[in-house]
Amino acid sequence: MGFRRYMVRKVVVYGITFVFAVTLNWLLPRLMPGNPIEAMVSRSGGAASSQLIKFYEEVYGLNQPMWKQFLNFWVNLFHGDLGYSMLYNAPVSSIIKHALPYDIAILLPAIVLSWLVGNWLGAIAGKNKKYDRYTMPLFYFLASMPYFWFAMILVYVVGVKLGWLPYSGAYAPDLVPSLSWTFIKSFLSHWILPFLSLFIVMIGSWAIGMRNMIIYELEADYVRYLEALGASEKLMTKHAYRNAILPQVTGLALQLGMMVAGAIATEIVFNYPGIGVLIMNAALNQDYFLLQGAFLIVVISVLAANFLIDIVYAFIDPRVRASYTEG
Amino acid sequence: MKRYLAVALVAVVLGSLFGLASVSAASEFPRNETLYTANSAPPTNANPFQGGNIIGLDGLIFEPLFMLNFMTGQLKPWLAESGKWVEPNVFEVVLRPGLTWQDGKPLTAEDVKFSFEYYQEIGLRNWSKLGLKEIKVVNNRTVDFIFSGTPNYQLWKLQLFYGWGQGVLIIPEHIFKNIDPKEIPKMTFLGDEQKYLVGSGPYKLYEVVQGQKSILIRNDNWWGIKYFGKPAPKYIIQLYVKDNAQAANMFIKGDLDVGTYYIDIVKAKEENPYLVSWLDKPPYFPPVAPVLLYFNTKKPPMDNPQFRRAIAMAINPKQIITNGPIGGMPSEIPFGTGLLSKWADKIDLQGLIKEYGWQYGNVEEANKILDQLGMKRDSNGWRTYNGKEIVLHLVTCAGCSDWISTAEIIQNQLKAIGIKVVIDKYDWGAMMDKYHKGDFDLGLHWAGTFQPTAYAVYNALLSKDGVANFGNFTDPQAQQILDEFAKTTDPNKEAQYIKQLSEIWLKEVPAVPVYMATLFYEANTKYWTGWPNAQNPYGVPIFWAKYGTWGTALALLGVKPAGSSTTSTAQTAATSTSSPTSTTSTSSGKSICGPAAIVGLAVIPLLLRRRRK
Repeated sequence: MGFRRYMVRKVVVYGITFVFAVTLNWLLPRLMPGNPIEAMVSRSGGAASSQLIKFYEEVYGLNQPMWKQFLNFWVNLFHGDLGYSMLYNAPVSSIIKHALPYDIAILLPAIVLSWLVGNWLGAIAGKNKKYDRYTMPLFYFLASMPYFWFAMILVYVVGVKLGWLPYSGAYAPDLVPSLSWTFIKSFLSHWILPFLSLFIVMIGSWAIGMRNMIIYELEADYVRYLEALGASEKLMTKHAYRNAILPQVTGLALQLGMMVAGAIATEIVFNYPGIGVLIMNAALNQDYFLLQGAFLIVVISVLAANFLIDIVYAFIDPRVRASYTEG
Repeated sequence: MKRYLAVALVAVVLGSLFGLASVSAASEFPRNETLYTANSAPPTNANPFQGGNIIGLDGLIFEPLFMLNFMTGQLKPWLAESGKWVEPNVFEVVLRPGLTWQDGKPLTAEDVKFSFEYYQEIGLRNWSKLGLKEIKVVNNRTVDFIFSGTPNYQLWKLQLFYGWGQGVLIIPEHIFKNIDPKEIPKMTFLGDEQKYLVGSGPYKLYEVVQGQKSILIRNDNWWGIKYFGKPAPKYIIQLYVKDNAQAANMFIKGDLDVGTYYIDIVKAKEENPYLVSWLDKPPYFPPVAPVLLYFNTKKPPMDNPQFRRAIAMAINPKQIITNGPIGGMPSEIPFGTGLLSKWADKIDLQGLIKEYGWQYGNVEEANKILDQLGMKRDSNGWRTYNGKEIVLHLVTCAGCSDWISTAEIIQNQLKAIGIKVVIDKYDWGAMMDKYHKGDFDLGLHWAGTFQPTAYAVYNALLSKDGVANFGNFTDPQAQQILDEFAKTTDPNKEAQYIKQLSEIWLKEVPAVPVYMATLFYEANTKYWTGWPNAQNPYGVPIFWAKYGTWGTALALLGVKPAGSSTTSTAQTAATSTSSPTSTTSTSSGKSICGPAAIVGLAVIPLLLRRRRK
């Protein structure tokens, strides 16, 4: 019963957040100064006649009053229509569909693996002073390293100078995506460098977070108590780890939620197809519809990730469950 | 626990990989038969009416009546054999014999009529505004465009090829009569809609991997083979390359054959001697059209031509192109290289400039004019107007580093005559907004000069509702000359009008050309040779949507395979076979290396822990 109330409350809160966030996504690009149609026409070097501008305003429904545009937006949204990108001249859903999988292919393994490896390394560092002394500087170095910088080093050293791995695109230029062995091999070899560029940098921050949490937890009263009881080190670590991992789970969920916004730096440096650069250009060119669509996906996935974490928390953290069911 | 983790990891990795695979046959494109190009915009749209973002869609797949060579200003008859005014209000187009669509059906005069009308039905063109009354099919190969009254001959000339808000590509009636024109603006012509892309040109759209690459395949039954020869590349693959540094690497490695990227061409040439560009000396890239420094001519003190003249005098383009963006020396009139080569002699440009021009970099004279205007310097050395310090806001685009460095140099140059300039950077859309609302003092742009004809340039810059008249310049005399200019087809009269308009330009200084902007262009002669250059300007690759018929198609149709003799073909064949094998061998070798590194990294703590116990 208590859990059900907890769920209902969560769903309502998320519903309100969703409507509010999506409305803001719709409104904010439109508050930017400038005319997107003008930008669209000028982008190709042309100067537009007023007739052409009127034509495109009508095509994109920008000649209607704001309230009507807003209404259309919601109506279309519930019909699953995300609109039509002005920058790329294609349905937003199709742009996202073709770009997003590449980001996920890189980011999902990078985030999940770096989380696992980072937590693991961090936990060991938190317990073992000697190991800590050697690894912490490395973790700090990794965590403070900008993604693009490390990516550029990888491109230059591994790709250009050593020539070990391809560093441009998601697969060889003379292939088209297919389920053939050639394509998969090509895809994997192109995947390694961008993956490593994210994975290695991410390890650092996870490890630091975990290490600090473990140190904190090992000093906590319950561990002291266990120690006084003469519990084995293994048992103490186990309990400390279970408490230390909680904030890391939240961090993971947020990272996974933000995953659909793409990895701009990686995409640029490795010339990897993905959604990040498309969104960036959409913002620069006032492509209302692509911005709306892309942020809608981001909002949904962040909310979904948070929602999931809220539920998971109710299971993995008895304190949370207690606070909600009783309060 | 660890075992489960490992399984989960593998599942995550594999899952994320196979989520990608969309099913279609893998294909091989032999390197020596494939021309690789790239664009910084992803291919997402193949709409021939609005010009998608697939290079060659206009010009190579769908064709115009005439092709424009932007570098020489010449119109080349293409689908049309001829086009002329048979009566003052009747323009007659005669098509070449034997034109066919890619599906084998003949291309006739009916298709031409249908195309012009279809563009109007979509809402993209308004022919009645040009006075076009009727399009009449005379016979299979002849179409008459009948106008009411005296047509604007000069504007009509721009409709014979294709571009922004101008001209048409000829489309097949038998395909498009079944498509509602109102649906067209939001069609991408990809996926299921690709079947409608039946053009008449030398290439067909083979496949588009949305957002990543498009592949054109040669149409071996092209009608034009007997006129223009068979195009050399069997495939033209357009990649999506965002970053200049990436493009530079790809050019150096020979992965790209032609493109428009800002790369250090001198350095790239050192590493890859096969690279060529338009010129073999600075600025290397083809200088096409001048960037103008606009004045807001309705706002004091910029409303005074003498003041504008003084500023023009203080500007030194030589300094701009040495310290600022890559560019060439501009002329004082707003013409690009193509138009200058076409008209400079006919209008005695040098004489005109000598008599009416302002002479760049003449600070002394500029100071004298400002003194005469009573713009005294204040205690800080800045000039004043009506007792107030003059502060001019120069509006530029925030992302355009070339314009920003130009603006900074201009700021410095105007300091020498005591004019304070503040540089305001805006996003492109916001900047255009400022221009249209007249909310600026000085501004940079080149939309008015990147035009195919002299009339188009002056019409854009000087007429009351000119598309690039950002400074809101009005002059009744210029308007009158433009109106008369529109009504002539006589080249001598044209020269005379251009001369008169240039004189007004030089006297009134509505804007100042500050440097000749270049198109970035680099090509690789390892696989394809005969690229257009300054000596042989048979075309120019302009890799923007809607400029395919301005010289891009001509350039891509003119390339030849590198070394047509037998020995060198064997050589290219050898390299082309060796390159795929080498890439596959490295990839298979290294794909073990990467995971191995990860495993290695993970093992370290394990080992450490074991030892501790």
